[in-house]
Amino acid sequence: MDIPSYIPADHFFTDEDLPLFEVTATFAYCQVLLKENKGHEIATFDLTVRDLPKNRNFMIFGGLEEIVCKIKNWRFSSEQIDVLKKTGLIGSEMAEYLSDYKFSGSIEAMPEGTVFFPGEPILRLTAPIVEANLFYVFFVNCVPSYTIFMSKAIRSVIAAEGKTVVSNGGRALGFEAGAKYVRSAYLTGISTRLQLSPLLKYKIDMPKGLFKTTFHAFIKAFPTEMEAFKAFVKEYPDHEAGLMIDTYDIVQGLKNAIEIGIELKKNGKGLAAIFIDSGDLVRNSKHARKCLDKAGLTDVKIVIASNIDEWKIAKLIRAKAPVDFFMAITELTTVADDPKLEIVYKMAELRDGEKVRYTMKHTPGKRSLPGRKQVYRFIEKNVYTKDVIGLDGGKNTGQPLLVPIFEKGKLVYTLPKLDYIKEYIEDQVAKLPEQYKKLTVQRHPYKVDLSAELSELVYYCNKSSH
Amino acid sequence: MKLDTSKHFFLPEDQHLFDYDYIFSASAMWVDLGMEDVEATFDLFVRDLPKRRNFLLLNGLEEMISGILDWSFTDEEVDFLLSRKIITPKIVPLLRKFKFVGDVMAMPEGSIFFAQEPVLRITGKLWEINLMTFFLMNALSSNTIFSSKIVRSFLAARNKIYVATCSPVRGHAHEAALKFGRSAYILGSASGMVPGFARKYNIPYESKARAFHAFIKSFSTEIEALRACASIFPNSSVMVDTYDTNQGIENIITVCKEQKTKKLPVFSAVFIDSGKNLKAFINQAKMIRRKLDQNGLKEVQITVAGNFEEYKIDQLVKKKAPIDKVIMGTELVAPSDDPKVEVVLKMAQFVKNGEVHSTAKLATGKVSYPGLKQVFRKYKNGIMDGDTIGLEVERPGTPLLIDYIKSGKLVREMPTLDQIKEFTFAQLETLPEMLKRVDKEFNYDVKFSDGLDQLLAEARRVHQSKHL
Repeated sequence: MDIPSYIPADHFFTDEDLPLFEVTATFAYCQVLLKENKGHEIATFDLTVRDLPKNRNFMIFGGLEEIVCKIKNWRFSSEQIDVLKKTGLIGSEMAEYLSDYKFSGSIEAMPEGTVFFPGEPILRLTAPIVEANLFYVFFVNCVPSYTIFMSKAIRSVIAAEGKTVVSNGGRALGFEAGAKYVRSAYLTGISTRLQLSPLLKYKIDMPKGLFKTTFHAFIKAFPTEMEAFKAFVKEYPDHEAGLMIDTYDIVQGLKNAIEIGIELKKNGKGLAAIFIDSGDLVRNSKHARKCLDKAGLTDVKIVIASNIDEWKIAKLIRAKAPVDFFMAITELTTVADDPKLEIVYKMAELRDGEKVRYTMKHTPGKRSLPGRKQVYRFIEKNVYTKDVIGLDGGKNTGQPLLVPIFEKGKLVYTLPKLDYIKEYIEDQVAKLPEQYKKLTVQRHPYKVDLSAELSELVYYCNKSSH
Repeated sequence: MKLDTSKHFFLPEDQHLFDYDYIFSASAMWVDLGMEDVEATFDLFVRDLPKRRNFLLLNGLEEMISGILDWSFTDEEVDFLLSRKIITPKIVPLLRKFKFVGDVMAMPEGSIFFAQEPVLRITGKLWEINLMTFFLMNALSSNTIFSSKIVRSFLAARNKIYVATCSPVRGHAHEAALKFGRSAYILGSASGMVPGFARKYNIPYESKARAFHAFIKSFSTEIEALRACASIFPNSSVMVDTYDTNQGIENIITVCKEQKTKKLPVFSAVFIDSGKNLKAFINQAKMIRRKLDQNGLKEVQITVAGNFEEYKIDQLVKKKAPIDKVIMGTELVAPSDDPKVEVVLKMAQFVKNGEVHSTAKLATGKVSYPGLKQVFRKYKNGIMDGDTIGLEVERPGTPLLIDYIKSGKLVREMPTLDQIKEFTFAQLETLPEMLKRVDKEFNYDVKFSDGLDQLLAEARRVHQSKHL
């Protein structure tokens, strides 16, 4: 019996799925616009995060590289257009439009890795109105993953105060999320050496001299823990093996690991680390350090796992637990404390030749801002003081954060390498005021103002809508 | 500038190396140590029930079964592993002709299950199954998180409100959104919101148009936008609150009346997209319902959206809000009340030279049981009445794990999405009332059988004796 044909060949999201992964209303709406001869009007849309997630003081923008690569190659195959035609959503006007579609708009965006705050446009797209609408679902599924992963992971890096945080993409919401988590965690300074395919995919160097871990299933496949340990270090004798000590009994496990460590040392080799994966982590790590040191194994590192997140790291640091590596996985990959991002894609203006119409949403708590905007950041003595959202090209000072990516369909931006983005993030976090690096949410959020010109425009739009 | 555009989505070729380097090293070591024929049985289960879930709903089995059947390695992958010294040469020929030839038992997709119950049991070469660890864990957790969240909204709606969950936006990446859509479809949600989803899973398509805010804003006045929409998609749903709800509903009624005069169908629904709080939504809905009814537009429904989830739906039903349909997305696709499930894959036993070794993890709080397990369910008047995780040979109820793969061959017809949907709803019929509530007030009875307890005690004894 073979796998039946109605089951997709894979359950992943591929390039083939991309252009039609958009709400039906968009296609229907674009059909109406073309039929009503409004296709030539030029719209400007902002991609914005409406609210700061409740447990964050700042966010880090991710996903620009993907946006650039996908939009540059955005096409509709005749098969895909047929699917749309069959649904009755589009007529001949839209079908024709899509058949030779190629991005012709302009995009300004914050570089990947930029620290940003709610209400700020992180990306601004200006294009003929039909195409400006094609990317809504793409944007709001692309940016959140990278952004929430980086905004979460950086907190553990900060909490660890220079000690190494290790992670991987396990138990994420799907494989793509797992891989993107690995990329995001790497950019924030987490050591993500563990999974192979993301390293290959993103061309992240495989770090050298890292230890390999005996895991529970490996240990259980031998009659005793000791036999498993011995088999493992036979293969990895020279500061390569990390032994998990709590498969059966942590006290005995530690004794066994120390015995192995002493044995290796006698032969001029050595044990790399022990893993503690359960129980009272402060007590267990202190006890383990004491025993290791007493046995002369001062160079054997201690790795802590077991639902680690930034709060547990901070607690272990405060208690001066002698931990060398924090292994944080599920809490980070699922962003358990704040898994969602209120990201919106809103029209800010519409131009018909010289005629400009500003559009904004007035609903309290869901306001969107009109006009072509830019975000300006103010820095004093190497510390960020405030951001101002203003009109592009207006009377503004401060460092503009949105940079040109596409100009009339042409890519004008050079995508940075991952290590450049990593340094960029480190540099910005260093410039963030101290209080926003704390784990607790600050009562007074980072200051984001509207420029006088923009406030005036908002006032004018408000007035004219009533 | 040359762009590497292939790396952003997770591709089939990323799958088989999506695991730790030392997982491969371990398999290589077992082969080096002459353990290549050791047969092991692993259980895939969820360690603890998430704190706000009364039960879990299994999704993702289709993906796991086809993934296991298709598992293999390309020459390039094997060469990479060898060149980086992640594996040793002896395993190389085995990896090159990798084909799973073991057995898989599982609960059917759409099954209701609880913590500690194996949902899938896989028996095969130890070194082979080991390589699928991450795949099995991730395939179960993502799909099941979605189904177990979405089902709560369906239960809270009590058939009074139509829950159109399928708004796959703001997911943890595109694949999560796609899988969310699949789970939503299995639970009866409309599939029509994203054509790409219907295309991928080859399911019937429901055409729906909607005049949303950006559409309305692209015309100089609201009424102009509504008229344009009415002329092309007369039965679409239309947003009422782009500018001002009171004026919005008047405009909608005007256009509906024009449609009636022209003998055209009227808009299918008025869509409320914003409200300060639940009360504001309910008040707006009441006002709109009244006005629609007064104007002879009883057939026009009311749809709401705006961070809805099961807790709010429960309130809407309790307060008898005149709302016909709720669209949900963000709160479900990134379930903030319980975003994770602790899925684990644990070895239960292995057979070496014909001798069976029971394996258990004994760490405090993380104990895993040995033995070849089966999950048994009792029913009383057609309602679930307690599960027992037992040994295969015991029979305290109906066994839930059934054969899917035997000696590497699929032995059961895989269901279509519509069949999974049917099975899911049949399962929900057997769910005790207390477990249908949004709050957790009741723990369903799941116990380990005496046979399993004895086996665990024995494993402890054996382990302790080795240290004496």
